[in-house]
Amino acid sequence: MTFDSLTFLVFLLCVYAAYWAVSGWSARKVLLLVTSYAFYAAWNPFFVLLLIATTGFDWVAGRLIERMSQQAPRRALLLASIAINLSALGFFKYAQFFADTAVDLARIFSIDWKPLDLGILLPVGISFYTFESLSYVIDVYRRRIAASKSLLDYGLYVTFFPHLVAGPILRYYDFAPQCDVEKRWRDTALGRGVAMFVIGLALKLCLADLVFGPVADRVFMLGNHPTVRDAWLGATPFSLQVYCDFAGYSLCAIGVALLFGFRFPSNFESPFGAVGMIDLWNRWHISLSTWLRDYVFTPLGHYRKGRLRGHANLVVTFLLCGLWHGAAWTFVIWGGINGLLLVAERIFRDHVWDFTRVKAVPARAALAFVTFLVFAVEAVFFRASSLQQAGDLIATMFGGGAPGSLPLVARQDLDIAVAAGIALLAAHTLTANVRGWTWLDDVPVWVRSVAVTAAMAAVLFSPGFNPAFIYFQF
Amino acid sequence: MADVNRQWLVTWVIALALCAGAVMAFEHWLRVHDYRPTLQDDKDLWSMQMDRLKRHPDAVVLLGASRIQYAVDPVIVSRFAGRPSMMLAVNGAYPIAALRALAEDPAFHGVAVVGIDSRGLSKRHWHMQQPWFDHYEKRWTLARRIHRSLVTPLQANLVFIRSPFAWVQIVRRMIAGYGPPINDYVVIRQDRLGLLDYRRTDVEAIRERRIADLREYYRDNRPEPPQEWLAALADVSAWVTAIQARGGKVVFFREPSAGEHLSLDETNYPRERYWDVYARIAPMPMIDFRDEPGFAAIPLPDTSHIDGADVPRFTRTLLDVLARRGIVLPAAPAG
Repeated sequence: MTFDSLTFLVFLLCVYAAYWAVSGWSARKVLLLVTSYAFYAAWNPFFVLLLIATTGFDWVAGRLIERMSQQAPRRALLLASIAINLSALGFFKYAQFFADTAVDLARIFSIDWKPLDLGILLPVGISFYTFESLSYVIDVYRRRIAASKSLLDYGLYVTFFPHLVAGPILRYYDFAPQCDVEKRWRDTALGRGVAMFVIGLALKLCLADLVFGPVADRVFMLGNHPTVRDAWLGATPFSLQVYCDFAGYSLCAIGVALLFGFRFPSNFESPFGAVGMIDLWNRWHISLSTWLRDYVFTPLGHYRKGRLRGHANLVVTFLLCGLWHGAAWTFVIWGGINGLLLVAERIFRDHVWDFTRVKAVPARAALAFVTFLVFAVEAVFFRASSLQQAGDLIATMFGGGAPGSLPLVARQDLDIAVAAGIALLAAHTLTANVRGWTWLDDVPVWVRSVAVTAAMAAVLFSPGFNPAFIYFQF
Repeated sequence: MADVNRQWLVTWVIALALCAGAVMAFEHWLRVHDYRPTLQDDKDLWSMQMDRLKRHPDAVVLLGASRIQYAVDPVIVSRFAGRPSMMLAVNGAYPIAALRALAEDPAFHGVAVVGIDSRGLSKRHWHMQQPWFDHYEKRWTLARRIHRSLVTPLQANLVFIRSPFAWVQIVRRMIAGYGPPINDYVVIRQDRLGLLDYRRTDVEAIRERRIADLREYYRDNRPEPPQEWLAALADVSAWVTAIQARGGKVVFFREPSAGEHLSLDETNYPRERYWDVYARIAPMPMIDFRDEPGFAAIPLPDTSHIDGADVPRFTRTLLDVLARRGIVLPAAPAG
């Protein structure tokens, strides 16, 4: 059940009406939990059992870890929880990847193994709820948070439907206090929540699916031989497409949560207004990048053990970031490139020029544009279906297209994508210092009305074929 | 918070009013310019028919491409046969993958009417409908069912709610100088039957386009030798036999074509070297429209499709042929 379907609209209206009709805070939370399981079951009812099992196990593990005073059993339980969570993730998401890699490796040694089709279905959202479960157990182990006394609250933390399948990745210390306080309808940011939901849908349905998606799809279609122009203009719309798709989803999720009185953290903060890749990663998929910082980069030693070790930690963290995104070498390489770029930027800023200190607006805009281009070029690995395709496309971008290549992207598609892209980049540059969406409450009614009307019209007048959200596959 | 919410209420009242006005104005404009509501035929609408087939495995299933989808009325077939009939034909895709899927479904024991020609029997076209079955197996969820059930009545009653009328598509056409969206001459019903209305289009232009496309196809795709073509059909025969073993029936029907379309088909796949050779050894009956005079009276405005007004006549002609050959028998009269 995707946010852009009428099924979700009906589901949301029913749950919303029932939520505010039911009296008693616990009853409301039970309602949210049960409907969240129903939401998940709409994809595959059997995977609800997996969700319930991992939720129950981690809740019990958290309680036990908290109670134990001796370090050894605490650590053993933590490791067991991590192992079980990662095993589930590894089996469902990476088993096929490892099998394919083994076959490829064997081929190098002239061993001709038949490719294995394990036929494993990926439970939607497993990457997201696994990371939420892991952060909870690790935080309890570190005694950073108290273990949840309520299985209901913990279940809701993992399962609450707006964030269940594609984030934002929540932290228990953010969510738990919200479960303690009964919500009152008149205190919810209803108007802003609906507005965020509609703006998110507009980003997805209008920009991602109709403006940027078709251009990127054409360039990345297997068998096509793009020209230099197409290669550049295909890679850049893909970055814009994936932003509109995922930021759109995140906005919807945050908006829907607001309708029920819950606040989710922001997941994107004008990433294309970023100056430098470090800045970009502080604004892009924030809930993931902060998770990786807290549970991978920091435990590895951060920069505390020397600069060289710190650089290595950064690259390792981003290799894992790439692997988290998808079970393919293209994603791993994409992650690795990002890690190396961050290291290179740190060195450059330390020893050559700290461009982030530039104050002049035009210069910052130019730097933001360069940052966007760098991100767009390495995103080729993110979108390409193979290393070969990614390599070919990068070679075309920098070395020229194959002789006789004809333009793949029609002029009209390109014009619209370029215009929308420039508008989006300009908007990000202008709002680079704006945080969150509470400003929507403060602008004059007429400004807000124009914005909301435009977003709503964009949704209404963008009927399409309902392509899935890109991040559902992760 | 109360003040903020009150301001938001004003915002939403304004936005809803403006959007409602815009929708009504656009819908009115479209209708004034003779656009009509029609369902968007997609894999979800097709999957609704597959759901029906799962509930009625003894049904009469209509397989093929556009020449079946725009010609055979499942309602008439159902009334005639006294059992459900569903349209699984897919515009632009030959149906052998569908036949294979039915053969591999142990429950299916109905009648498969397969609209196909010698070109469609070529192995290079067998995969064409596989994506529809993949969609049904992997992506057809309860949520999609509900979504499609809600979208269907909207599309049946509102013109603007289909992808050709998305604002981005309209702007795209304007930039390219193509003018307003094409006024579609097909109306898709909920059971996926398509009704063509040639009065709404330039028949001559469509005919020329189809012939040009076919010429280009045969230029780029030379037919395989008859022996190679025939050898591959052993698999098709096995799938037919599997259905028959469960009590089901299969018939291959070469739909009518005319003029240069027919000439091009015959030049590339001469009937006596392809179709007739397989018909002699195939485990199921194979009907060529030229052997059934009833079809000759039905005009083919674009050389391969019939007008929606002729669909009842075409369907009854086909049913007469199928009944005469004992493939689809008329239901026993009630009482």
